[in-house]
Amino acid sequence: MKNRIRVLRAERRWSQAELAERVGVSRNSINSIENGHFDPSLTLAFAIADAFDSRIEDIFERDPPAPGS
Amino acid sequence: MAPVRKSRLPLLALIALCILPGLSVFASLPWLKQQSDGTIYLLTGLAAVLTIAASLALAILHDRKLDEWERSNSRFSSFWGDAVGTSLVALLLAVPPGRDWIVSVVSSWSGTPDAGSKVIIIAVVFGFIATVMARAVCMTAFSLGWSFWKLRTPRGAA
Repeated sequence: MKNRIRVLRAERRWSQAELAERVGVSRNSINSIENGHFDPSLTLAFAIADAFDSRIEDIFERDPPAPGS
Repeated sequence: MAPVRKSRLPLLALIALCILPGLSVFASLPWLKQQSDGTIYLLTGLAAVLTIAASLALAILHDRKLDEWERSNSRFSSFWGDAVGTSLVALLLAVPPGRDWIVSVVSSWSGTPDAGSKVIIIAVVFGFIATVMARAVCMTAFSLGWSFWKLRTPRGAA
């Protein structure tokens, strides 16, 4: 799943650790989500959206469906 | 509002409870060997129960602090760690050098160099099977319990 966390963080000059603290998770979680290696739960996605004062769909973007599916 | 600072004392006490009973048993081995069987079973049993209870409490405390990424990591590593670890033990028991190594370790630790290798291997195999079976039974029981809990009727539903 693609996301705009890196861009939104940069706009606010937040480090990953700072965002992690605001959301209440570890820095590894933010790093992994930001790089697209880990999909957050709905609860965490809402928490991240709240931290950026945005909507979930403004931050996360679904992967295109696999061909043939 | 000032943040509430939690005491680390319960955590340290639990860690101590995990380590000290086992250490006490090892430290008192010369004295324990002179005691009756009943006393030995009682004291070692007590040490085992204390260690297991403290370990469980520590595991629960640790699990509560994990976020979902760490929980996912834990699920992945415990699944593959269990599978690979169990296979390694099975492999160790299947190949002759592995069996010989187990026999030599058990013989030297128990101080019985003339112990029958067949008896040692059968005992280790039974212990291994018991562990695997107990894990499978407990996993099934917890899986059923989790399913019933998660599929329960929501509160206030008619």
